[in-house]
Amino acid sequence: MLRLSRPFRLVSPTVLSRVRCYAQASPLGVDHSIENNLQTETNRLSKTLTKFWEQVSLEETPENVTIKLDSKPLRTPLGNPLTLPQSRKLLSVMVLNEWSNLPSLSVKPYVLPLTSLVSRCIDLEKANEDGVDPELVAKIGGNREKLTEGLLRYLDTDTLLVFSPANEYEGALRKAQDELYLPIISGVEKFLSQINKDKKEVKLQILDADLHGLRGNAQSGETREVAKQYLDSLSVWDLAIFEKTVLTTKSFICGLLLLLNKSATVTNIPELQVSMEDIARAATLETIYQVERWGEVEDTHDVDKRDVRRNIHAAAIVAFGPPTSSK
Amino acid sequence: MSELTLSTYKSLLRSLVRSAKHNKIQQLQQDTKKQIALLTYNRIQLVRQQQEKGLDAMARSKVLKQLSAVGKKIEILKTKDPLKSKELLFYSHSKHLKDIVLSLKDDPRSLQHLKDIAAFVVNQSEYEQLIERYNPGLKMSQEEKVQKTANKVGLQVPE
Repeated sequence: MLRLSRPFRLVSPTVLSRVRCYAQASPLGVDHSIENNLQTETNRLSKTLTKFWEQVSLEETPENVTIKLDSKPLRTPLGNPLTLPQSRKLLSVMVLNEWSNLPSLSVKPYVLPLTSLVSRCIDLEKANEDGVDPELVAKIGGNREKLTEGLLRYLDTDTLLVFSPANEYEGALRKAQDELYLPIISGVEKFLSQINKDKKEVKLQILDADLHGLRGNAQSGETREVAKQYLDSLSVWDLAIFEKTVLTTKSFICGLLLLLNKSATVTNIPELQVSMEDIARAATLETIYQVERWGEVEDTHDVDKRDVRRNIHAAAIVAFGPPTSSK
Repeated sequence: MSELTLSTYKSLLRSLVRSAKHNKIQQLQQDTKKQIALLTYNRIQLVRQQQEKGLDAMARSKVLKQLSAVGKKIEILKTKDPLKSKELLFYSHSKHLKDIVLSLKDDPRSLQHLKDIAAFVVNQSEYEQLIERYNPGLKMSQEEKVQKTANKVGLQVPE
């Protein structure tokens, strides 16, 4: 019988099939979490890839909702029960839906996006508590500081900050980028200036292919500092959701947009009020024009289109609602 | 529930039902297979009992009756079409979902969120179906895979 030497990590959200890495330190978006042999339901599923339960149900207490498999609580890869606060009831129904809709016998590694993200949120929260075992932090691939550092790198090369040459696609792509990106960029600058402790205006460095040619992009130290302030202000859950969005869209700004529209901290800047479809479109704008010009490649463009949208919407579903009781 | 919420809720239910259909059919097919296997096993047991010597007439006729009942059940299961199952038309947790939707605030943000959930469900199921279409090996059983591999190099797996 054919066996996989290293099983898919079913519930680790940071797995990305295609990761672009440049000459910088270590690649981002790679699953750094260490495989562990804890006897949890999610681990068992990811190792055997077979359905081992009959019934999925929800158990409600006044504060929490727990997802249960055959009367046992579902546990995350690090062994924490998959328990959600009452405020995220809608999410619990969707997770239940995911598990009860699995076509039995062979479970594929891509069918549990919500469970995977929620597990990441819960495990990351546990790994960030004070006095936690350093081994646990290593297992999940680094704590908050490490995560923040990795995410900040996406602001340098943000998809929404890179503009294509004006003569490409008869100028159509550049026009669309100007229309879509420029208001968002000025909105983000406004937002970052608002939260800046020094009360100074924050500017984002864009990369214009006509002006700057082929080179990397980097934000100034001050901008990075403010962006870091923002990340530090997020709850652990929001940070995990932010990470998921950034890894999907390759854009720090998209992560910011998603949280500002879905999480509790609502913004009053009109430019930043966008729908999830807008975020997906902004993140894949160049592909849209490539497909228009060269045609759609089977097994690539059609799959990627759904992949980006399902991931963004999954992040939105987890983000929705008031923040958790913890900070 | 306001009219707008109601229509959004309804379209959410619709997309939940529609996107679950593909997987539900597979679940139902596997269920039927399991049941048939179980009944076939029962039948074999009954046939064995029937062949036992020293069985009185009463017991024999009882076994015969059971045997025909099991046979009938298997026939019914075999002709059952999972595509026509009523389960495919409903969302199984709709009451719970409705309660939650009712408890939501009636504002554009919550409405938009219900729409986003529907969009997630649709995209997820379309993604799964595309992956399945482009990777037919995922769906195949181990025997099927071995058979196809053997055929590829001009061999055949013995029956």
